[in-house]
Amino acid sequence: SPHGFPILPCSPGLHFLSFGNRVMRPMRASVSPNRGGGLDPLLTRCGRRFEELTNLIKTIRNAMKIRDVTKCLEEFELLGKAYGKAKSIVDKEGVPRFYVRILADLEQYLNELWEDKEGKKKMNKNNAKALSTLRQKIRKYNRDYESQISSYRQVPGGAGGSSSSEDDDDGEGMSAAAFLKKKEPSGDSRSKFLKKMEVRALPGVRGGGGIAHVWQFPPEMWKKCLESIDELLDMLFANPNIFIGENILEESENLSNFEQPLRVRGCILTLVERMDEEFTKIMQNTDPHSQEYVDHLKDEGRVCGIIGRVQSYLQEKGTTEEICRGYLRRVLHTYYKFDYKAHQREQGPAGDSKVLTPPTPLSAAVGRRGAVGGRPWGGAGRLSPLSPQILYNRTMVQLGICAFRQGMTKDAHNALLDIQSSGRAKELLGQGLLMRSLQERNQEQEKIEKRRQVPFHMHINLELLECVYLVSAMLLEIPYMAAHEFDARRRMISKQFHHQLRVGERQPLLGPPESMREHVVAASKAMKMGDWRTCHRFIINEKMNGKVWDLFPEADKVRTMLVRKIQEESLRTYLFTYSSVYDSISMEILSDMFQLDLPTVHSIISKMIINEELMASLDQPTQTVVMHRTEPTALQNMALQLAEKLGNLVENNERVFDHKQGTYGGYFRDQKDGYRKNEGGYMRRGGYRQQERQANY
Amino acid sequence: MASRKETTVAASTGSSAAASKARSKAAPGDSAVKQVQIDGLVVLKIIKHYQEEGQGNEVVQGVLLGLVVDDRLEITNCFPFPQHTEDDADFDEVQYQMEMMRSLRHVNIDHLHVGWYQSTYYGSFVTRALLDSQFSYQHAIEESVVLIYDPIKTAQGSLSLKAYRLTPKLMEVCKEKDFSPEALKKANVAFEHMFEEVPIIIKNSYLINVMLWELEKKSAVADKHELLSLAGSNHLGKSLQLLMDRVDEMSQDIVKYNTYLRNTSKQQQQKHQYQQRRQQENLQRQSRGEPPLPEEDMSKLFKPPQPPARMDSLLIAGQINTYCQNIKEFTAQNLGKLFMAQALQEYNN
Repeated sequence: SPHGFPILPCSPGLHFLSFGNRVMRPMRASVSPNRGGGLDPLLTRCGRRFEELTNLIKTIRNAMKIRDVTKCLEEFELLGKAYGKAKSIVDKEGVPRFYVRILADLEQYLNELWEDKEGKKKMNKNNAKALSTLRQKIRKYNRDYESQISSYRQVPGGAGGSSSSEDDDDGEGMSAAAFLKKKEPSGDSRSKFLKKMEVRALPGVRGGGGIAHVWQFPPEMWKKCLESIDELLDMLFANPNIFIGENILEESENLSNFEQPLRVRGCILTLVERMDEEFTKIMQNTDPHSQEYVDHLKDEGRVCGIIGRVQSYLQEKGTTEEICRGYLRRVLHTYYKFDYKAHQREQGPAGDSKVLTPPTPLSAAVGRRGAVGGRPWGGAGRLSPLSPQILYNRTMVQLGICAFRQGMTKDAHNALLDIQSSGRAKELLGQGLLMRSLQERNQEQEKIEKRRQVPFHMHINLELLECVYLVSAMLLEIPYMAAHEFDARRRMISKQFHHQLRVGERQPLLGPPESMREHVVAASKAMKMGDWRTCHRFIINEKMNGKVWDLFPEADKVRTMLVRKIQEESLRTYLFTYSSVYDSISMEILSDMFQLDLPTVHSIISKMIINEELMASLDQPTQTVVMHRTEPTALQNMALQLAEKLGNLVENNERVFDHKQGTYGGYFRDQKDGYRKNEGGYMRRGGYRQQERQANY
Repeated sequence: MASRKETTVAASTGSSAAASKARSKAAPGDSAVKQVQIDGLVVLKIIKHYQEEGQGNEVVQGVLLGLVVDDRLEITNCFPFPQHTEDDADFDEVQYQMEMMRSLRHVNIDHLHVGWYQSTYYGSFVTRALLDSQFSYQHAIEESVVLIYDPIKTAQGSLSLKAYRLTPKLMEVCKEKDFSPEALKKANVAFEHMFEEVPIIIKNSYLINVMLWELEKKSAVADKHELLSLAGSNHLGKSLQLLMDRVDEMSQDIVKYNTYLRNTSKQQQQKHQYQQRRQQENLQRQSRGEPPLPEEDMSKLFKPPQPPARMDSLLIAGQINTYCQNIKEFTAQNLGKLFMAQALQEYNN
């Protein structure tokens, strides 16, 4: 191949965004079948599949001869199917010339029939119907083989496909004859060009599925597409009298009448969406650690530029839905980025919230789409390779990390809880397949799942995610554990965090922490003792900076926030754990111990007292906290628990007794009495419980 | 001493022979053994065994050897069982016992099987396993006892060693292997009547006693301060925790029993309804002059639900009882100490 491009695999169902329909050029001229008995090598080579095709073609030709259009239609459908089966061979060898020939001949034949008004009248009803159906079908079908057919028509007896396609290559490189035409200095070239565009964009609108395809545009060609889209947009901006839209019917198109606004069927937005999707695919299929990836990534700017231009175009001419679709595309490109410019502009805490905002309309959009059953946003959803679920998960994670940066640990924890507790964060975020479930899916599913993956540059750092989650869990869980040390029915805030703690405990030999998790566990242990300095040392150090904190924008701000949080929560933990040992504590000492200023200490302790977490009162003149020492000791707590349990036991036991009474009371009248007695029993128990509750306080 | 030796020699044909001999000797009263006399050697051996092999809540077990004299069981020696580990799955316990006893016999030690011993963790020993093995012991050798050694209590200053036997009532129930609520009710077995404690006498030779007296004189009084220390809440907490666990189990058991009762009564009702319907139909048929419907097997139609085994709840109740007694004992001692401390303080002031 002269340009060193791989042969494009192609099948009838495979045609989105085909700018300048690429000529299916066979790799080796010898393979391409020629007219004179070229079938023989093919037959030996490709076996049954092509034989099947040729047989079908023979039948079609026979049917054509006897003007049996119904038969033609049937056979044509079979042919399409057979061709689909032969796809793998076609992918390798290129489209067989005999196939192109029958397509071209059939179309011509049908057109002749169609023009022949006299003959049409003579046809029976079935045939007439079949004629119109088949004509439409073949027109649609042939669009994908346009260039082959045209080249076939140019050289009907052609010595081979290669020569004709080389002609194309000489002209515009990869873009095919269609673009050459543009250069023709004729008056209506523009409309012609637009016509072409419509033709190409249409398959995208038509094809509902397309998800299963893994076929990918070669990057070089895709770049050419970018240029052409830019050109197209230039044209559209330069000529405001052109109207395009997929809702414009073919009949109502206006391509030549310059007096009236030009109306062209097609959709620039769909085109751009396809282009964007191809970009995603290119990114998906490139090794993320190669220079190539970086090079591709540089194109994103252009993609975003085009999307921006389309959007500004749509702002003037598009419908609301189209504007939204454009907006969605834009959001998809920006939501995962930190807007440094916006941040610099604002130079304040609002900068962060700015970043926080983009995901919100997106999530709203995604959410709405789910709610309305995909109607209004159907187009966008179909075109987006990411499933709404993954988008939702990613949004939640982004929100969680944002909240953490803002110091809202609770919100961060809640946002990340679902993703982290599943243990499948990687899968849920579309950042990789789990090896575990590899056996459970077949190849088809795997392909679909691979398509769902997010390109590497959009990946959320999983370690950072886990660290943010664990640290927020630590800040919540450690004071909570200290406060509810003796509570029998203590619930867990974070299972994942407890799991990590247990793993840490199980270690027979405890060395200095290595991994991020070990650091968090070690920090948690220090925090349990109220030792914020050690905790701080474990959370923020060189290792952790390199692994996690430096990845944040404004890392220093995050670290300052974190230190402060650690100090506060350590203070709370300290008070919970050791309040029973103190009669009173001076707040000044506490403020010194935890390096917090006095008002902060004051406010934290006040909050604890108000929430009835700490049984104490503040003594203003001496600036001390006076403990009430009303908390029961461990043993007392246990005794209370035992009392509660015994209460339950008694209750259950009484139920046995009730039951016996019920049974012995007989089935008839006495039963009612028996139950009434039971009620008395329950009341009595209620009384017991009340006593118990009083004993609790 | 001489007479005892004679007995041993005479009955040296093996443990089963000893058992049969002992049985013939024992009065056929309610219990074969009224008293257990333990050699100081045995006590020391048991303590040593636990200290070397046991840790935490792992128990150690061993075999007691001795002989029966009238209604007194004399335990003169013992040997430990090796701890179970995973890698000696093919370890043959019976063979090990037989070999041990044979070897001991060679060195002229009492080699008659009279029971077994087990260590315990905070007094939790009333278990199914203990019941089963003691049953098989008592079934084979009527006089056998189980010695329960509590290392934690012993560490606190007073030796805790208790001998238990299953009551004849419980023996009957276990023999029947019927633990349904009815059977237990019929047998009138409650948790108080499951085990009987046999009084223990520790017997040392005169020489040892003399030495002990001598040692007592030499030992510093300071060592006894421990007796006065107010025990921490640790022990009490542990006991409470264990008690709580058992209470939970008990609750579950009762819930299970409740469900069973409900199911039975529901079925009874269904059965009754069915019978009534049948009767009415038969009456109608009779009035029409048709033959009555054939009798059907009721037990097939209504399978009674499986009654839960009540033995477990009995055991749990027994265990709770033990815990309670332990706690009571412990707290009573502590209260005494507290009062003493208070009095001392007042006196000082």
